[in-house]
Amino acid sequence: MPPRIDHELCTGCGLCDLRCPGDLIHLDESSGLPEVKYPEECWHCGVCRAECPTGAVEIVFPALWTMGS
Amino acid sequence: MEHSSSKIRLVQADILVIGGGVSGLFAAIGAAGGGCRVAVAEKADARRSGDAGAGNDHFTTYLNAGEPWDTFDVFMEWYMRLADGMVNRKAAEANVALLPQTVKLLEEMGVPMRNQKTGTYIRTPTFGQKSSYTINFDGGSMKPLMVKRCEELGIEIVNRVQVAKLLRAGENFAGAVGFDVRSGEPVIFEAGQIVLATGDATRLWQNPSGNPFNTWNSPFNSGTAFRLAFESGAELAHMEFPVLTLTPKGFSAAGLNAILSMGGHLLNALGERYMEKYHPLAEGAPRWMIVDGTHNEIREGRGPCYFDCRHLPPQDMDRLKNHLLPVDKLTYNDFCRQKGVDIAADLVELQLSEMQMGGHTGKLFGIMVNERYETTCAGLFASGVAATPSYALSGACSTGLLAGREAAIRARNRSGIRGLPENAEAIASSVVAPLRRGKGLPWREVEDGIRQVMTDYVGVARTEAGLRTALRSLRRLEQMAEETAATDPHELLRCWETRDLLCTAKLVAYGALQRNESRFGVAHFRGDFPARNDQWRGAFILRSADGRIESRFVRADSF
Repeated sequence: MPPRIDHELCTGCGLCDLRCPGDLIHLDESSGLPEVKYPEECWHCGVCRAECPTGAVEIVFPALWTMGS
Repeated sequence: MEHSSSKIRLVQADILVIGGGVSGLFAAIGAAGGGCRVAVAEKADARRSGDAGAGNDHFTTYLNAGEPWDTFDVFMEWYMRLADGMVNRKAAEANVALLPQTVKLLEEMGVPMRNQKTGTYIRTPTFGQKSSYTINFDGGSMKPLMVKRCEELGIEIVNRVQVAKLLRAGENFAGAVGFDVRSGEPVIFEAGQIVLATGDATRLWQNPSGNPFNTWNSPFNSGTAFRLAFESGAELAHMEFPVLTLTPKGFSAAGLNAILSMGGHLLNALGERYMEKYHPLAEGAPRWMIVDGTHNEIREGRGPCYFDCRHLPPQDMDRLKNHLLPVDKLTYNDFCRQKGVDIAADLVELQLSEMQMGGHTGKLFGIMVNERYETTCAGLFASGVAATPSYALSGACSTGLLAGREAAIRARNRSGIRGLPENAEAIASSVVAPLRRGKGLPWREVEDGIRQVMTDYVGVARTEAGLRTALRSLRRLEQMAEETAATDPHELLRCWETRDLLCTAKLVAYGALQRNESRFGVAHFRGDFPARNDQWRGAFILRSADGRIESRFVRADSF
């Protein structure tokens, strides 16, 4: 389920929400923290991780994609 | 400039650029240089949107640096050969003339085009070149730097707005309407000149991984420009030629260019460098031949096939692994790690990517433009992947710059002619109608239908019967698309992308039906006309006749 956001490290700055090219990450109104709202539309470009100032984003590929040699 | 005399947000400019990718930003920069007010409509955030949002590592150009091949003339000859002579030569010359200038512009913005240690360009050959036209560079910060330059020039970048319709006032273009992808509120743009720069259309065919968003060019590029151009009556060419590439098995990531330009090989399951059979330059063949050769190896039972980079000297491997691939695709190495392969030590299984209307050097399809990059509709320009001729990153820059400059010249000559049509607000309000529709089909159902039809009938093996079936099915999907409902603004965005894809799909299927021959390998293989027939060396040019597609053929030599 890409990407994975560590809410312990996240400061809620919102850069991942702003910069995600697919409009996939939304800050949750109540918690103020980002949620990957549409994980199945992610192309794993890594922009959210590149923009994150606290290293809270980890890119995890679906198992299906990593089959083969 | 914005004001709020009505409830609907209004953005006014002399020139509206639709799409804030590399080409759109270069168009804006070109137009602003002409002293015009310029607005860019971008559906995401222009700092990170488009095919190069997370970076790009290859820039194809001549530099006039002294070698006999390093000139405009020899470059043009190579490009025309790659395009099989089937593009407008004058238009190609006009943008190719600007290439060295775009390198300078990028360097002025702070993009490190040169090796930081030596101060020289790292130049390599790729794809049908004997000459080293490709600059390898670290373009990870390219987009944020371009946006900074746009801000310095006073260009208004309107992020998070998807454009859905163009506005006309009589014969002239008057602007466009779209909506904010977060609030779902309509937005009106007033502008007399428009540049279409929305890039590829990628989610049209099924994906080998099963996820249609796992594409090698951005999955969020839905071909908006193709639909807007078609609906405006502008002409499009070569739509029957989609592109494919080779990617690591499972992850449709860019990087073929990097691997082959650094000297990587392609092996079949027997351990043979199979491209030697298909082209004298082996892995140096044009991309479509590499795709075709690989397809043939797999079809004839010599797959799976592999990237083999194990022989690269340590410094080349370091460059490929640590500087090129992770810029081509920021997450390339994460993927390799999670899959458990090391490009330095292992054969890396490859796959034929999904088909797409994607940008790379040698692609032919797009909106027809003249040497000013104006479409067949006055006041409507096109650049980058959306236009033909164009090619990859460097073409995105040079065609954008040219289209922007020419749009600015037109804007100055037409000063005083402005004004929105009376029904602009009604059109703007209709654009967000799927949000108000309580019940309706989800966008995904229609979009999955498009991909099923395109894969079944407009994929790697085409026939007249199949293409006619495709066109009938796409017409049905078009009726269904009218019924789609959106539960939130994100779904509204996808609803409009579905319409873009649907229009593009129809143009591809229609073009493929006209072309009674096979050309460019798996890009257009007609089982009922399996041979190349040079009677058809030229373009099928498509346009709308009251909403229906109309086609004419132009021979390559009379472009």
